[in-house]
Amino acid sequence: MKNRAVILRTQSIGKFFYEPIQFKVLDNVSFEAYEGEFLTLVGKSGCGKSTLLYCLSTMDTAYEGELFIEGQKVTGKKTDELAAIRSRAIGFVFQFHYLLPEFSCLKNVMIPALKLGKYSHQEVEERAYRKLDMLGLKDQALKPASKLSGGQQQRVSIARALINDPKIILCDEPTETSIAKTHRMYLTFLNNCARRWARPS
Amino acid sequence: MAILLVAAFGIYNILNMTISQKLDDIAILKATGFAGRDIIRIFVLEALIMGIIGTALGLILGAICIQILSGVYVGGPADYFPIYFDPSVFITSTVFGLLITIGAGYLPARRAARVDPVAIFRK
Ligand SMILES: Nc1ncnc2c1ncn2[C@@H]1O[C@H](COP(=O)(O)OP(=O)(O)O)[C@@H](O)[C@H]1O
Ligand SMILES: [Mg+2]
Repeated sequence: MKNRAVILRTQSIGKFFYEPIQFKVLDNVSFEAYEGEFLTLVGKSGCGKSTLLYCLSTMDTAYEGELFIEGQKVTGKKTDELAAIRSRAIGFVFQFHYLLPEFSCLKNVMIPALKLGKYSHQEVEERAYRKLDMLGLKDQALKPASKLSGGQQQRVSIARALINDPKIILCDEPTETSIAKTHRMYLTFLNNCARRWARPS
Repeated sequence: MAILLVAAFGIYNILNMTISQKLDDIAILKATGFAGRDIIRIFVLEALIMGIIGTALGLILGAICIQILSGVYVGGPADYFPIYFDPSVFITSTVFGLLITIGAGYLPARRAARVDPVAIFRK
């Protein structure tokens, strides 16, 4: 593990919330994640897991300390640069599903790839189909996202997070809304993803 | 001109409402790598589509009115209602209509671009 590249590194990340009272949610968080590593963050409800993930995702920039992605310092970059980093390097699975409800599952998975613009429209569509197939959703591809069950929506959002083959996949309690059996299945799946493509989450 | 401003205000309001309803969607797009200017482009495009449809309808309606009115006999020295097709009027109103549309779209679009995804996801 140690000779692999460090893909995500934090240096003493700290974060305050000021409303309603000032308190420190994150205090001196430093860690390194290697390419292909599968890391799980455990802690009781309200301890700041989501807050840390938002910082790692580059969406939340109001923290102290420093964040490095693929060896590059991202702390202090402009919002447009951060968006480009998210597009290329980070896949995010939210605690709640958060798909675009009017769009088909296929479109939902395709949109981040169309934004990245690395592949043609047709290639993107093929890749999106493959990801959906991997998650057992090929037959649902053309349905609007809002017409799917919770668990299916969750899998669509995992497919979306994988579409640009990001080096980093961040999942915020990806199994919270699923029952125990599918819970195991997701974790196994994500773990396999990490091994196969050497991507940590 | 006044009608154009009213129409622009309509577009401005509709867009503001759409954006308020689509905060979740905007947050998702930003989370998956859309930059502020991509969001602006989406909503200005939406305004432009409304503007183009509106302008086209306006032009067609204007043409029909001219057609009807110019056939109205009013007597006196003019004989017919003094109105006729003037392409330059049509061109300037189209250009103005679209310019105002872009303006009316840009202001709400900028607000959309500033949406903080984290604040939306935490709710
Ligand atoms: N916008 C906010 N303003 C103030 N406090 C917040 C805000 N968001 C979260 N918190 C607080 O920060 C703590 C960590 O929240 P969170 O990261 O969501 O926890 P979890 O580990 O369950 O994901 C909680 O105590 C919560 O009340
Ligand atoms: Mg949480």
